[in-house]
Amino acid sequence: MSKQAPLLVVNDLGHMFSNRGQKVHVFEKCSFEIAPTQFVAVQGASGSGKTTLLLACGGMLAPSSGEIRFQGNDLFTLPSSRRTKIRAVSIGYLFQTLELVPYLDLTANVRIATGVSSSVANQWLDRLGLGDRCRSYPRELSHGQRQRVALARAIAHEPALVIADEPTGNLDSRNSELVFNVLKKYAQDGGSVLMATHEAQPAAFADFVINIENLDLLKAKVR
Amino acid sequence: MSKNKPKSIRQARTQWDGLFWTTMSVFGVFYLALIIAMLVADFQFANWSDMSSLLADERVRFSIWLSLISCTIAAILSLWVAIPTGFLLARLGSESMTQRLGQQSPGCRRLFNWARYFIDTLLDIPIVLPPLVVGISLLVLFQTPAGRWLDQRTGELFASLGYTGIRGITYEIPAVILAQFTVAAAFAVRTMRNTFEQIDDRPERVALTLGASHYQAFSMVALPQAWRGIVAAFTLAWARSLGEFGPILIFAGTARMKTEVLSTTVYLNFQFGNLRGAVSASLILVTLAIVVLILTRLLTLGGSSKKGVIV
Repeated sequence: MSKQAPLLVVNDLGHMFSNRGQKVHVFEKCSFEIAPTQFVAVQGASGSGKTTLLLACGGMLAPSSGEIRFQGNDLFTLPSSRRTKIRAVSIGYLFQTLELVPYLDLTANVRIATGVSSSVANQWLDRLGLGDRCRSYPRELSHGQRQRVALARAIAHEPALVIADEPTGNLDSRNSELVFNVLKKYAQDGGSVLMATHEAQPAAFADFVINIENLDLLKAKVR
Repeated sequence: MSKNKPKSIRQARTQWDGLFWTTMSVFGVFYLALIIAMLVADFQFANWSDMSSLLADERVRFSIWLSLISCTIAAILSLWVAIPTGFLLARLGSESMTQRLGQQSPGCRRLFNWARYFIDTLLDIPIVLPPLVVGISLLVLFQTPAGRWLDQRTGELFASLGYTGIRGITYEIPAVILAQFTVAAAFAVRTMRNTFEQIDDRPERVALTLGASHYQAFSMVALPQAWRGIVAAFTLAWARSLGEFGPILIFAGTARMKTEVLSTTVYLNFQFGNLRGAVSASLILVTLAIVVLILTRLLTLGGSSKKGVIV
């Protein structure tokens, strides 16, 4: 484990919801820490709560129990305006549903992130193999290309933590490798990455893996 | 499945469908026929020599130019007001805002909704008021101390700019523009509100989540999506201003070569018994309105209802 102060501390996190009067626990007692430069993967079957965990870590979904501290701040006791500001400046989020704006070109889509100029947006698109498509619209791209645009948008404002929900979900092996390398390089350069993945061997590129279906084991291993 | 149905049932259904479409069409065709008949009657009544003699009149040419300029200024001012107001009304009434307020307290949400309905109703007043009442209200407003002060300052402003002919607002060209703007802006606000309501606010919320400011979310995400509505609002405001008569008559008067616009040219010609001149001026109005409507249709062609869908 890194000796640096942790960037993100997740403590006894649990989330549940009601479904037709029955309480459904998505996950319980989830605890881990992410230090700067760490690349962490969240692994689990479909529906196991990976996206819920990532949304909570990104300050977008209040968990039912536990706490999430980001840069020393308890995210969900902060006023929502402060939380929004932290999220905007220090967290880059790649949604599983991508959430690209259909009527904006790729540069404009990336520029939506805080303080990103057109040239920076184009540089990131270029690094992700879309340098010649900057003036295209999302509808003109394949799903895999759109995923890379969403990654460029999550990373372009150089946040302290990039949260990526299945960033290689529809990519071929060559493009998956490109995305992993970009995220790995980002972590090596000082950023941190928290990524949900369905890859069979996430340990090959991650510093540690959170298996959301086996959280007790994780706690013993990480802390 | 339908292939298996007995032939008589299929025939009966086809007959009913035919009757349904015919009945629906008849109502529409009546109104369409009325519009076409009015236009044809106008064009038959006035001939080309009437039109050319009208256009040869310097005062009529002045009224055409004043109409074109004042309508354009009134439409620009209307958009200036309508875009932010329409956006505010649409987003304050959005489901996400209602939900957010509902989480705080039901009473707060109810109060907010009442305030919104009240503001909405106030903004509709210029639409439902008789045009003469709008004119009288403007005239009375500019008889108050604040109105007189503004009238005087406007005269001084124009004098300092070298336009000594414009001595204030009331019974001057600014009164024409203000009278047109007062009614046209209400229509533009309504159009922009409907436009923003039809635009899914999710891309804006995503932009805010990703760090865009409210201004960036508005200017980069909402505004580009609303351009067809903006064109429609501008056209509606322009066309409405062109046809405005009542408030101009009361608030700006009908002084020839001063505050006379096309609608007042029709009135003045009619008033002095020159029916052919009135019809010819009407035809200029009709032609301008048709040109603007066709241009709008061309500009806003190809609209997709799926524009707001996120990929």
